[in-house]
Amino acid sequence: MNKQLPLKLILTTAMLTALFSCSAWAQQRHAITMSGEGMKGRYIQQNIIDVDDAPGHQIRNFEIHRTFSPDSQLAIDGERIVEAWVRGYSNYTGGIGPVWGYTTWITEKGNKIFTEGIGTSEAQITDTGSRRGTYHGTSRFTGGTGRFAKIRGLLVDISRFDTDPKAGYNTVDSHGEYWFEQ
Amino acid sequence: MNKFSLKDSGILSLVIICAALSASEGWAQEKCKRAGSGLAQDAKYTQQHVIDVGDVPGHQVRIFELHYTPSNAKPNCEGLKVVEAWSRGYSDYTNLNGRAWGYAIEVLENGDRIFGQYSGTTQTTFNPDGSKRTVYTGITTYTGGTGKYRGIHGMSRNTTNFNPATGFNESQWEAEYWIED
Repeated sequence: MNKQLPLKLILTTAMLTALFSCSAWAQQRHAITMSGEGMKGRYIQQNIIDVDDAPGHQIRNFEIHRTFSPDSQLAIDGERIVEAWVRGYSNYTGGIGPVWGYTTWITEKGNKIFTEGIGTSEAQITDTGSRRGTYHGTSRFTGGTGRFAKIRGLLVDISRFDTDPKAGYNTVDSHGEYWFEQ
Repeated sequence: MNKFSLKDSGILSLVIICAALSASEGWAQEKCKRAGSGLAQDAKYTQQHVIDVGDVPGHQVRIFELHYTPSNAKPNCEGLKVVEAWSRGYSDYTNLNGRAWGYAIEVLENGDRIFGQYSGTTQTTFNPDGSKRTVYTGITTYTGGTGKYRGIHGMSRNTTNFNPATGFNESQWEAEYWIED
């Protein structure tokens, strides 16, 4: 019986170690929340081609530039985010359809963090002819420069936009989590 | 009272198999199979919009419109020639390697139109002399049309040598389709 004790001890120790390791691993995941308030987003370019197979069917690519106010608390692993660039596509029929693309976030130290996003937009035409609507989607952290090379994570995004070239806007509320791949 | 014997069931099975075989043969006969090429002089990029993504060098999101006026068109199984075709689509390339997908429209000489959706992959390799060769390989699925092509089904296999910078675009294709009422 005494001979079995060391085995029990080893098993118990192993289980406890595993539990604490999981806990430590889970603690390395960081929650992130981003609000559209204090964020400025505008369309730098939008290009549209009518597909001509169904009324209102258009393919588009676009570029959006977002800046964050100096008092913004948005930071990733301690580095404040100062701007973001979104470059992507849409496939709308009558202002409704899928949107997907790439976002580059730039930190105050000049590091870049990359995400890929996909979702769906619904918009209506305004008096000026622009489309005003809402996007719902998700984004994945795919990497970055410097110490962000191995960042991974997931965001849930809700964006509000107006595609007017002058008065238009595009801001996003996001929440999710990120971690660093070992 | 008539009894359904084993012999009868054997004959019935034979009749069913024969009917199925002849139906399958009939169905196969209604498929139209065609092949052809798109000449470089007949293809023109009417729009291309490229945006650098900025994550890795050479990564670009692009939309484009390509117009064909085939000078070598032959009558199809309905006796109609394609007088023009449009390709409007996306590419997600890094140094001309990656995915392309979009929509194709063929306009026939009687005004009917055939719609398709395509998807494929582009690869850029180096020739022995150091020059680059960019080739798209993909499938177009026919999704519908107008006039007698309203019920079209089928697909086309496409291989295209192209250069978005110079506007060069030359293709080979093999298609098979059928029309359901």
